Amino acid sequence: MFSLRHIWPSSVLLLLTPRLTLSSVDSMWCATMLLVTIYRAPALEPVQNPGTPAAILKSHAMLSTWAANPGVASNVRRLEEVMIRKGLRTTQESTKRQRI
Amino acid sequence: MRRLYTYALENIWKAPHVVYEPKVIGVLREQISTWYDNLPPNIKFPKDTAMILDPQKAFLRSQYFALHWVIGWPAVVRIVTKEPDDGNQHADLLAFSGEVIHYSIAHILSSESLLQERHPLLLANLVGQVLFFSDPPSYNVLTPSYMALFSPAPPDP
Repeated sequence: MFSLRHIWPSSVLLLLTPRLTLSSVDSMWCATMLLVTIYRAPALEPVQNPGTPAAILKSHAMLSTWAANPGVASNVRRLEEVMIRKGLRTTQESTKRQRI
Repeated sequence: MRRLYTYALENIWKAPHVVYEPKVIGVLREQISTWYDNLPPNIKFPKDTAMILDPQKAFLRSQYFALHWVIGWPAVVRIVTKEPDDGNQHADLLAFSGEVIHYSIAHILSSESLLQERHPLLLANLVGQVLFFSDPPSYNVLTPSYMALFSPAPPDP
């Protein structure tokens, strides 16, 4: 009986949580793209935050764990393109990840 | 929170452009403050980026940080695309832009509670169910006669 009672509440965690999770993934990707876009922008030099590169790399690592989802994978690729342009990632690293 | 996002989208993010209006940003920031101050204690979250295990608090906090950078983003667009009109405006734009960067970083760091700490919980629930169905004693509970208890009664002949 308790086993059955374990299954029904789990459905809430397994079905509903991913919706919030995917919305969190998307919104975090937007914040990351914003950060990486204005990283090292000359006009914003006085207010650049030293924690920006670490936050971008952390977000990239978290997004990569969700890259099995095709939509997230596409976003990760777009993020990596900008990261390479900004010197936060090398082309070799991206190629290696795609092979994996 | 949903209403505040709607206000922000209606007054600042007018596709395909964003509109820099410092007064609107100020009003929206006050409303966010009021919203936060009036949160019930059981869902009130700390404003730092420490790990939160309560999913409601973690989700609200990440949305709170996101809303802050959403309303400040027009200042970043303004300062990057056009020369400020005067020194005061330049100082305001820099202040808003600094906040946008600060809240974007806070948003990313606070999302860790939602994206990484949820994994163990989700997997624990998945594994729990798999164990239940693969464990012979548990599985034996699901005999046809037991499952018949949950099935509709057969029609009378």
